Amino acid sequence: MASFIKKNFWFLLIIGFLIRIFFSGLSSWNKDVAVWYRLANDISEGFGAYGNLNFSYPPGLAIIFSLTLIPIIYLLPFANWGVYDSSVTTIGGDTWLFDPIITSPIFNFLFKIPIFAAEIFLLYLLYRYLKERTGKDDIAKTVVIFWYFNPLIIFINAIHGQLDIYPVLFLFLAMVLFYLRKDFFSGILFGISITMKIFPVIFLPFILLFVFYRDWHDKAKQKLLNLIQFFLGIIIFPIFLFFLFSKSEFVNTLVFTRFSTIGFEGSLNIGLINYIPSLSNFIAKNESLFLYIEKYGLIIGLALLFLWIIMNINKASDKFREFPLEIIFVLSLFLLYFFSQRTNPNYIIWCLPFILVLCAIKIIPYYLYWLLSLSGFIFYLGIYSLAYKLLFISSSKFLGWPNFQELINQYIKLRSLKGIINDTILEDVFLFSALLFYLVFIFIVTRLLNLIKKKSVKKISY
Amino acid sequence: MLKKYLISFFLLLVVFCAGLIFLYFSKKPTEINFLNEVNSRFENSYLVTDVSLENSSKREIELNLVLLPLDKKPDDLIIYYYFDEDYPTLQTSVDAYLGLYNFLVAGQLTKRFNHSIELVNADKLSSVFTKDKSIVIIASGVLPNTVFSKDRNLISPWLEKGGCLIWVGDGLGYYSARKEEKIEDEKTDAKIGWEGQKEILKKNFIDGDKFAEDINDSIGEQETIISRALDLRYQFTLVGAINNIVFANDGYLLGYNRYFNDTLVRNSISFIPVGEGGVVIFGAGIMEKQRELGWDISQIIISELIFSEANNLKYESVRLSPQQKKRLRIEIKNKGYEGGSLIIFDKAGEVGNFYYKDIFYNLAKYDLKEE
Repeated sequence: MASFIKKNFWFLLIIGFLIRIFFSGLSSWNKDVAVWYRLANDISEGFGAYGNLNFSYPPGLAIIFSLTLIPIIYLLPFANWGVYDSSVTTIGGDTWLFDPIITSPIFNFLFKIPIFAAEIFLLYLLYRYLKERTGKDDIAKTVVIFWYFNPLIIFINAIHGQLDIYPVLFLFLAMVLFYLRKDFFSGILFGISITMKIFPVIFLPFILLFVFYRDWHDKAKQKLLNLIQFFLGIIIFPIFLFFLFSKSEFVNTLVFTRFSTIGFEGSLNIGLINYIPSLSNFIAKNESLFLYIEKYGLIIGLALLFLWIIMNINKASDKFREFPLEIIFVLSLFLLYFFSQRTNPNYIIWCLPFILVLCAIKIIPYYLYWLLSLSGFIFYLGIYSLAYKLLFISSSKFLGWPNFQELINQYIKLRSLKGIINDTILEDVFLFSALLFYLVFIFIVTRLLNLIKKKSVKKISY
Repeated sequence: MLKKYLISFFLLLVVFCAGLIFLYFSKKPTEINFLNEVNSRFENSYLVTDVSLENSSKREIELNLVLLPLDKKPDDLIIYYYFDEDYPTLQTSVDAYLGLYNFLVAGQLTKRFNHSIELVNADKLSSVFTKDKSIVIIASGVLPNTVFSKDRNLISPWLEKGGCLIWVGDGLGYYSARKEEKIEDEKTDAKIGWEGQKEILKKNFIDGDKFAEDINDSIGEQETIISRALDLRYQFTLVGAINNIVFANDGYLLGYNRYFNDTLVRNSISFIPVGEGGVVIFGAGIMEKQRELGWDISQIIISELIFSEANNLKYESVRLSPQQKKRLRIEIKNKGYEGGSLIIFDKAGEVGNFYYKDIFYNLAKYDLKEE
């Protein structure tokens, strides 16, 4: 396999890129892309990202995404962005699946091109990093191809059209710079990634701990200086953006319109057990208990992990200097996945670069990377009945495939048969993918925790 | 080795800063006027509005033109929004219920028509209900005992005098809670039941022989003329008012119908007149629908629907390609109206795009005399 990849590396990359290009125009997740459309519209009309409360992601993502929308805003005539089809308003409200704004294939293509560029940038960094860390070019190339031909990643970036690749790119480079002891620069990228999506904030206590113990032999003054550098780097952009955007409604939108836990929803998380028939009655009777677990599970889990690391690493023996940060990233993200109210499969992309690194340095086997990706991919297909068709709503509307009216009629029929969208979940597929996710989750977590305990992690080459 | 990563770092930083500059300094809003001319009058016993539209933008637009007949002059009422974290909520989280306020503040209501929306807590709410008429929005799902309880009812007299209550939540008056009371507690005496609603509205509008078992089974499927005209979007009918009873009491159906059986149909948004004022009842709590509710409540207030004979409204929906011109006439048979309220809005725009409103009043008298 490795020799085949090495021999055909560029050819495979081009094939992977063409697959992305092929899907980029034809597909999109209508509900999400309608938000991107509104964002582009608001910016082009001068309302900014938050003026009309259409965009409710943190400002860092608004900044980077707005920039990537420039070709659409200035080069693509508005008439070609998409259509407003009021005929789907009722079924849209009914099923929670449709938005009356249906973007055109050219709109889909243009907003995804920067996503592909960010992905290539990430792969370049991953390649360089692994080549230097393992000293083997073929391992680095294998990892790149494993990323590029991962169906889940193709799905997230090229078909669904999600933006998670942007914070992941910043986060990954932050980690590399951290290893290179460029604490201030690393902190800046880390801070920016937090302004894009909140999830990296859970790594913060661990990284600060690492900065502190990494420099175990340094004098107290030097250790403090390193911590301050890193911390300053982290806070610069979040604070700056907070003051810059607090005049608009974004703070209110983000802080106050985010929903509290309102239900024990099943996805790639603890809510999965909702779908296990013998347990469903028990859960329904004890929902408040499960909501409580969901609410505080992550905090307790992270605190326990923090204690576990402190207890199991012999500080004096330089283990922190040798310890891959990727392990902590993966473990904390798995805790986040497990206790989130809703863990969508696109969130798995947050941990995939780090899992690939752990595979490359032989801490976990590659098949776990593939099984994890497969679980997310199957989950995508099981979320809603006919989801595979719904993803092609743009091509349906503009190119006639699948037949648009037929697609809408199928949903109307489905609704009259089953009533609500939750029933349109393909429960067997859903359950299977989530159980697979659990299995991989347990395997990876126990393996990583064992490694910490045994202190058998290989030394970082930097 | 390090150099390449530092170049990557600066590249990402430059891209991010460029995005920041672009977003922050991108152009400010420009209003595109789609309206060349508007002429509203009474003519041959009809309330008539002639409109000349021109799409001078580069995009296709879909406008709704709505004419509502008025039989009294609309008052410019103060709007209050009840929010008190110390009191319980139902069918909404605290975040969502404050989120709805944010959507209202960011919407057309305040941005374009300069209405201020004043936040009031449970104590202040009681003084609002003892003052002059106003519009009060309560979306917490539970009434605080400062305004309504088994032995207190400040709402009904206020409605009689012309106040307008916009209620989003479980049955109106079903619960009345004390400060920091937990209504899910079985020992609670917060539950008043359907008697509470009867006490406020003088009639039972909601309690029927069937309710949907699940919120998603209550989604209204059939639009009404008013929901189409004003592009209203809230669809839950879990505790929606029963259509027949609303009609029988001169109320309006503003939302979506849900058929439970041959005789029982509930609507997701209803207006029930009470004395000089009335209550707008949404068919359930916020249920994550802050955006839709923010839009719907704004539309109801801006259109002056609560002062109008909304059942007789007329509307036109028109699509205009770039540079296309169109003349339209909307007319309503005059049944002694005093004037009309005309709104024209861009359906896809939600908040930012074109919105026009014109109130014309007292024109009727001349034409009626001529007849």
